[in-house]
Amino acid sequence: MGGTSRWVADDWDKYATTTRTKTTDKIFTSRKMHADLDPKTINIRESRDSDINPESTPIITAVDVTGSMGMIATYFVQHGLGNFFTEILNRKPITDPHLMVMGIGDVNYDDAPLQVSQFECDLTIADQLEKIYVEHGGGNNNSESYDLAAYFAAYHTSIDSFEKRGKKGYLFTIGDEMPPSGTSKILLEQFTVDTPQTDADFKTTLEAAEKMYNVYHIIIAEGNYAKTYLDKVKAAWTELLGQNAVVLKDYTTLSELMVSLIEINEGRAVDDVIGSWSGTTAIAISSAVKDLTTKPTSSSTDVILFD
Amino acid sequence: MITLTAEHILLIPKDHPEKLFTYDNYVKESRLLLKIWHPDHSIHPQSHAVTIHVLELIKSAKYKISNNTWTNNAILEFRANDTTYRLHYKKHHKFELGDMYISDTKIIYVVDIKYKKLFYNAVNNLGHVKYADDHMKLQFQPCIPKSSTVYTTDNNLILLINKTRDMLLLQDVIDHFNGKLDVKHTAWVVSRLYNISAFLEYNKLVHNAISPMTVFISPVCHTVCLYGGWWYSRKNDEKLLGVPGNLINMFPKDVISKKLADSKVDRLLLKGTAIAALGDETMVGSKLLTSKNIPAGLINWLRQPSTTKASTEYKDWSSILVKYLGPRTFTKLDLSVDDIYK
Repeated sequence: MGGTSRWVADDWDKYATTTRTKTTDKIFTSRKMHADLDPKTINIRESRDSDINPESTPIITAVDVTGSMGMIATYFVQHGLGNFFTEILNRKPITDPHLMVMGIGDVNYDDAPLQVSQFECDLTIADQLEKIYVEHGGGNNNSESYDLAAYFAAYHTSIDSFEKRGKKGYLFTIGDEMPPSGTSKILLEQFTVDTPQTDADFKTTLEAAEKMYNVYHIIIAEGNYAKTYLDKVKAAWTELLGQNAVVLKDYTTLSELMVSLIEINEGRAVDDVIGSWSGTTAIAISSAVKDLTTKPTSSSTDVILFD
Repeated sequence: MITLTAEHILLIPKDHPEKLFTYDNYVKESRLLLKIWHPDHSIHPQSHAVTIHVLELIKSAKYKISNNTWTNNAILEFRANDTTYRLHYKKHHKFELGDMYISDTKIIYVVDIKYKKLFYNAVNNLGHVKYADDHMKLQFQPCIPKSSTVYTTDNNLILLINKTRDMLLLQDVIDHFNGKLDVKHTAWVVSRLYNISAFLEYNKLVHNAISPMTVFISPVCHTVCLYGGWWYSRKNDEKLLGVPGNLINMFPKDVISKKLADSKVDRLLLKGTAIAALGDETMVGSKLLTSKNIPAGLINWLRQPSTTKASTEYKDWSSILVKYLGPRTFTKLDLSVDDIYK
């Protein structure tokens, strides 16, 4: 369990100055699943309130690290983490962010289809991100194991924001391919601590994750698969997640998009959010979120009537 | 009362005057206590503290009586059909449609008249429950409200449901045990609820509100009744009228978007009720991951989605029970009615 300190911008600047001069292979030096990130040995990841972070908000960023998507992990250690923490702490759509990163591969082909950091709120998250094995794998199918991120979030995280305050965290899966149908119980047993009785289809896994998290999928339009099949990919994800499936045309604005989605979910008007960015960032964010609607708030003690 | 020690009195929480006074005689009783404990009359070293505490309890008693929230012997009074009714009750809970009062032999639901459609939906569905034969009737009729009476006041609709004295609201039992029931006791509650769920499935009914606030249990007989929450009940695939806000997180997204009743909701809520009984009031179960007293496999099973028929899932549950808790045995729940409804 992490999350007992705070993000310091100067520390990030020093760190990023170094990483920005390195290639992906020089940053991500693991050549197999790092033991600290192996879900086969992790029963629970915790996001807990502390004196310094009294109202923690867990945010999980699950990044596709297969084939053409390796650049996303690199983006995060060179720019993305800093942008994300700077904007989220300045704009304050949520309190006390605790970030977890996951690496997503393909459970049918890869050695490390799921890698899981701790929840952290300082530069420690960059150290953990660097431990990710960028396998550059994936298979000949048209999907990656994004469902494993939802599975782990649903069944192996314990978060104070929800348990103490009834406030959901955020789960972002990021990639360019189709959603998988699910994962067999045999593979779940192989890659997690569980011995499930049944296969886990993605739809029900998502429903389980959505009890504790606001779940989003960000489709990276620059990815090889999405370049060719963007409409098909968008339609498939929209069927699962509705408006929480969004297309991003410029991956270098990924952090700003995550912050924007959080702001909109927390009640800020879509136009205000778009207007808060400038230049090419504003163009990319507008394209991704312009059709979203701000969700109405309701009291948990109310009755919800249907017409 | 005269024999109460200073320690006894000081241990009574300030918001529990019922533990010191009786409803009808609290004025007389409080005067007597003040006479005994006032520092002018008592040389006890704690007389001052006791007097202050008794004064606080008097204040709390006055408030509870004027607000009709005395939990020992309070009276619910309402006027309907040109008659004034006075009903004693022992416990009061607010719920999303109004108020619930629990007496020894009745549960009284006072529902805001704006929820008339939901109210009569409950009355109607309860009136059309079917039994395949006498055996089924004998087994399940006691598990659902059978004898109910309806009253209409200017602002409310009132439903009276008969119960036996030993029947306790599951939430009250959980609260009594500081938020969690032992896994062995939760197990028999879950088993009985699966029976009821299968019975509802036979009736093609979906209850839509199974939770610790609608389930009643008898620790003495190990029986379970689904007395509350019938407002939301619908036939399978029938359009939903509404769902309780505090349970919406448990409803599958497709059920909410289609607004059609689906029996898997009852089984999801049943599992959620079990999770709440075990100590996670969110009904999601993540809090139980750190529990050392509940087998991890059992928690994992309860947290998995429900997709099959009630009878199939009941069989799964039975094998899970044996796997993680061993052969079935009767474990006495050390709890009397008076512990809960004093």
